Amino acid sequence: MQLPTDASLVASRMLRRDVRRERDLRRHARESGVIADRPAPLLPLKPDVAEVITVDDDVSWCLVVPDALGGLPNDHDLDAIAAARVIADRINGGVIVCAPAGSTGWEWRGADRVVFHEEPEDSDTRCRIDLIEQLIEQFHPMHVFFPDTSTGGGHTARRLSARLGLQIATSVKRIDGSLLVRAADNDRQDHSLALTPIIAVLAEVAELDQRICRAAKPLPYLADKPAAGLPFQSTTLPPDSLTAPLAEMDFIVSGGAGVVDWEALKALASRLGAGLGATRAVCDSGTLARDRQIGVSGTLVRPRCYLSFGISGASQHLQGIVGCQRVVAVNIDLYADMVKRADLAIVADAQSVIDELLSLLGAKK
Amino acid sequence: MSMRIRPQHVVVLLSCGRNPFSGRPRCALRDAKAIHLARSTGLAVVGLHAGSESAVLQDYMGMGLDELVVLPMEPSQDPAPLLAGWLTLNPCSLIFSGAKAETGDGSGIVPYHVAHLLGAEVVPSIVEIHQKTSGTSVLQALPGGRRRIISIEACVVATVDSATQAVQIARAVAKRSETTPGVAVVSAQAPTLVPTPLTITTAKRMPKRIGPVSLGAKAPGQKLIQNCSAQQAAKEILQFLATERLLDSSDLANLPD
Repeated sequence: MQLPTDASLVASRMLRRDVRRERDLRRHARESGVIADRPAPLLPLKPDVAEVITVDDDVSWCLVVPDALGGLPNDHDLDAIAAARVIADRINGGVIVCAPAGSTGWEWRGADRVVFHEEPEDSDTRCRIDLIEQLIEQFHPMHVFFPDTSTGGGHTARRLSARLGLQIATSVKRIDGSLLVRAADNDRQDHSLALTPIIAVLAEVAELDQRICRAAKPLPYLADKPAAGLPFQSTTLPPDSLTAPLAEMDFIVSGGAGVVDWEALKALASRLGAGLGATRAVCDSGTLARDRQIGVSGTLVRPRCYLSFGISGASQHLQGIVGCQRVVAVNIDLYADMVKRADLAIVADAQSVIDELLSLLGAKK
Repeated sequence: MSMRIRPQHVVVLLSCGRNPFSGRPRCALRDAKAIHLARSTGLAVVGLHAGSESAVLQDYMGMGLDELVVLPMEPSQDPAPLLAGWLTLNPCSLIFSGAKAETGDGSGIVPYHVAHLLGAEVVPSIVEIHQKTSGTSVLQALPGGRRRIISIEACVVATVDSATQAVQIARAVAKRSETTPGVAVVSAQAPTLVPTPLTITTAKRMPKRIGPVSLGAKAPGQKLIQNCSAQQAAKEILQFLATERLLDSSDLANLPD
């Protein structure tokens, strides 16, 4: 056996292992892998030269009815289209998307045909039911896909199923070949089902490839009867920044110790239609109510965008915003953890930025 | 035995839940919340359950039900026609229900099927109810924290999701109360809307698209702005919000370059 002669090698073997450094390296590798999976921006990336995929008029169709709140599809809607694409590609069929009038960009969102429909302001899913029934008569789709949301697609899908006596698969979390996998028994079981006429899918059921361009040909749709709204009188109220539950919010503006004028931040939150949140220290001081606290001992939030002012980012607070898609941080300290976490980090005085935003947006204090 | 006649009452459809951690039977959380809302109307609250008797139903009585009617049913049977049959014989203006069951399929189709058989509308995810002399109005939770006030004029089935509080159980009341066996006539053969599963397996966890972002890690593709004026910073933020489509179209038009 040959003994090592190099003195440095011997020395290196005698050195103690740096456990902390090894752990940090492992953690770094893991984190960079995880973070790389974050979603692409909502607007699809468009290559310069696009090959347009077309399908014939006489193929089997899958109809998708996205919620498209505010006239735009959200991630859940795109997942529903993706699920329809999976099935349509299996049967060599096409996807018809039932889109709100005036919306664009469907060729990058997996649509072979688009039916544009006018929807009255403050409408219920009732007017969509009439529309979908007419589309079913007109195009005889094999399956109708909905995002399984409680007041949107899930509601329409269940109503449609009961009304037409068609079988429905709800809470579909995965598509396994030609089988649907449904989350059942309070998420304890997976049920696999044969394809049903009506399919309500959960978010992240499938992923849409937004680099592929399809024809998205607008289809003539003849409204032979006017869409009937909710049979009852209704009024929609915008979210109230100070009372709407933070866990439900899509957009949250929050402040920490760097905020001086809380009235200004409240005005900004309501101007942007966002919920107002705060750190533990702010709620402890009584500036805001306890239900506004974000973090481990407050509310765990998962908005699409989180705009923070003067928050340094205590680990308890950062754990509360783990589910946020986009984070904007304004903080005076370059080395604050919140600045590291943010997608857009601005090193500036929080209060002056709030005042400037208010004056740019022209809000009345 | 038939139900005691009440001048005006509301009905809550009840199911048996299961504790997600211990697996023991319990009151279904959404149904308990539905009872809370039903009680806030101030009318007599009648619980309705299709299935076999169980100790869980007693707990519902402890939540302040005036009566609990149990319709005997085989576990494999579809409860919707049975419930609708009973509700046709004992009409009421408001029916409450949890959005979906905690055991079994949990498809949430039962309230819709019952509503269809009764010719009623479904109002999903309600959070508040106000009973006035002029009529009933409910507050519905819409996505993104928005709310909708709906004034109700006909029979509706209102379903309750997560956004309300549950009622505590008065154990003594629960212990001494009894359920009422009910009789329902199923007239027409209703279709089965939920298909029977081909295979049942233990749920597999799916990886989430947004993984957990660990603390102290730098966000990839981060844009860091230093040494800028407050006005520049504000413009950057508005630009970012515009690309995330969080600004109104009117704000977008006024956006500075």
